[in-house]
Amino acid sequence: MGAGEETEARSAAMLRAICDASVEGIVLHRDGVILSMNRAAAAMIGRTPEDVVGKNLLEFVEPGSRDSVRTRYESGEEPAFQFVGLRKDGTAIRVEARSRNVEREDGTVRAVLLRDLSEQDQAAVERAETISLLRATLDSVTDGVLVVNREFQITLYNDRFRELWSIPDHILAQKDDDVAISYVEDQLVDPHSFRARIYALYATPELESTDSFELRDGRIFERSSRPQRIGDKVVGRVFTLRDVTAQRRAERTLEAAVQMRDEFLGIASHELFTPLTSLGVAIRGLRSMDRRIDGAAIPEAQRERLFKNAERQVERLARLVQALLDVTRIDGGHLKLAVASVDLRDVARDAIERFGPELERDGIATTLDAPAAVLGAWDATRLEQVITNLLSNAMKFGRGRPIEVAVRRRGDKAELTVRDHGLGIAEDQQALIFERFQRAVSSRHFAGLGLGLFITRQIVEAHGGALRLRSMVGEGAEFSVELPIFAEPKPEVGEEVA
Amino acid sequence: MTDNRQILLVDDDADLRESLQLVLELQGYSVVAARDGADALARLREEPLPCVVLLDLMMPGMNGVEFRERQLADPRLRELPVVLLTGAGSHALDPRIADGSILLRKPFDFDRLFELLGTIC
Repeated sequence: MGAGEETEARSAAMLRAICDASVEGIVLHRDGVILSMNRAAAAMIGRTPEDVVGKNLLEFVEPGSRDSVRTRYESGEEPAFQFVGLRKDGTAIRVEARSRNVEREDGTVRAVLLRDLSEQDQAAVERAETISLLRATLDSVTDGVLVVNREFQITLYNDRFRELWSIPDHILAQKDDDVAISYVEDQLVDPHSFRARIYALYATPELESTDSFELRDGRIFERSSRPQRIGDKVVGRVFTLRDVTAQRRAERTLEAAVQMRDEFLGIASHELFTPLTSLGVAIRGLRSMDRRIDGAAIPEAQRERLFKNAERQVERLARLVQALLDVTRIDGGHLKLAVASVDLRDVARDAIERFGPELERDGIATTLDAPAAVLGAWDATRLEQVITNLLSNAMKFGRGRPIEVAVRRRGDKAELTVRDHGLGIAEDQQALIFERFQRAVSSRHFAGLGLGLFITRQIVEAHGGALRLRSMVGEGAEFSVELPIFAEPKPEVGEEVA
Repeated sequence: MTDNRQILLVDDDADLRESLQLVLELQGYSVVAARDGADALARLREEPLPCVVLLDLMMPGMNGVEFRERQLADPRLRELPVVLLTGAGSHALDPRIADGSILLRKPFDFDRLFELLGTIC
């Protein structure tokens, strides 16, 4: 072997070694007949180089790609192209080929470099899956999501984000955060601080924050923001937006209910204290009569007044407790009517008589205007409670002036009115006073559970009737109870026929 | 001129006015009763002045706070001793009226009430 031959042999061996070490597939062929193939190329089709040398390479090409492969090597074209190869197990493999003709002493051969695209395909599939998963997640979460990059360009948002703000697509399509902010600003109660907050976040890329803001339509959004990172680098900012309106309303309602309960407990204890105090005073008075220092005779009239006074306090306490029980019953839907044939005129007379002593004590004159009997099917005890409540109300707010009660029949209805000439009730307060625990006048000035009119309305409505109020500030108030002659209780109210 | 046995009792509750009046009368005091602050001020226009005012705070019309403000603004009535009758504790009291007055919680401790009256009147 000459020196030239030796050199040539060495470089051929080196070339073969390089070829065998290459991760890319290398094939030499002439008119399709494989002259040599490295291990990487053979591995792509699940074979060894020894299996394939001398065979036509088209055997290892999927039938649909064969024409294209043949055309390329017959024409000597060089640009890269893709084809589908066939593995030994019959499965397909996508391959990229770059080839060129090489002139050798024994003629033209074609060298082909092959690259397995299946791994790349796999990565692409995984990427697509990830994106689709992200997309599906983004579109199914109930929070609005917006991602903005460091150049204030919108890189991502979900449907919920668009819905929350009602932003048209053409606005978001501009991908400019400032355009989007300008669009939503009109919807905000305080656009200035909204914008200021965003700028503060942009100025401090690492900042994480949560705040909330109100919209003019009454909604409340909670906004959370944190940086978007790739590795350690902050590349943008993610905003999530949550509609917390219902939650905040529920919180406020609960707070209001707790406050109302506390106020009510305060009022209720004051109301219970008043007759208790009076009762205590009466008992003390009766006791002290037994040990008067001067030993003088106690006038029987004074003793009797104190006994009567004590008895009235017990009745007042019983009425207060009854009112509390009634509210509990009404809340539980257990207000039952004992309906019987009743003359409303008698009920009114009885109520005034029973309540009379309290009215007299305050020096209030009460008149009953009831020229004829008004018969109907009602619960007499409950109606007496209605009248007593209205009288008590008139006494409390009537400034000591006369109270007029009237009973009339009007067609197939009965009407009872209680009129006072006291403070009157402002128009904006008139609807409120029928609510539980409500009084038109501040609780600091007036005693009372604030339950009377609520219970009264419930009883009247349980009879299928209506409670109305006519009043002007300074001119007193007139409450009128309208009852059907034949009571038609509301379906949800139980009925007990007495 | 002050009557050392006369008490002005101001309370909107008629029953309490009646029973307290009877009890105080049995103790030898004479009692003038008023249903609210305005009524009380009207009674105070007449001589002699009582030795003390027993004042309820929660009343319709002119309440105890307003009465106390008017009283303190009137040189003739300013020095008149006032005992506040209230269900609430002293923490709930408006300092404008609490200053210079004596607080008596409802329901009453009568020994304390009679002791107070004995000191004042």
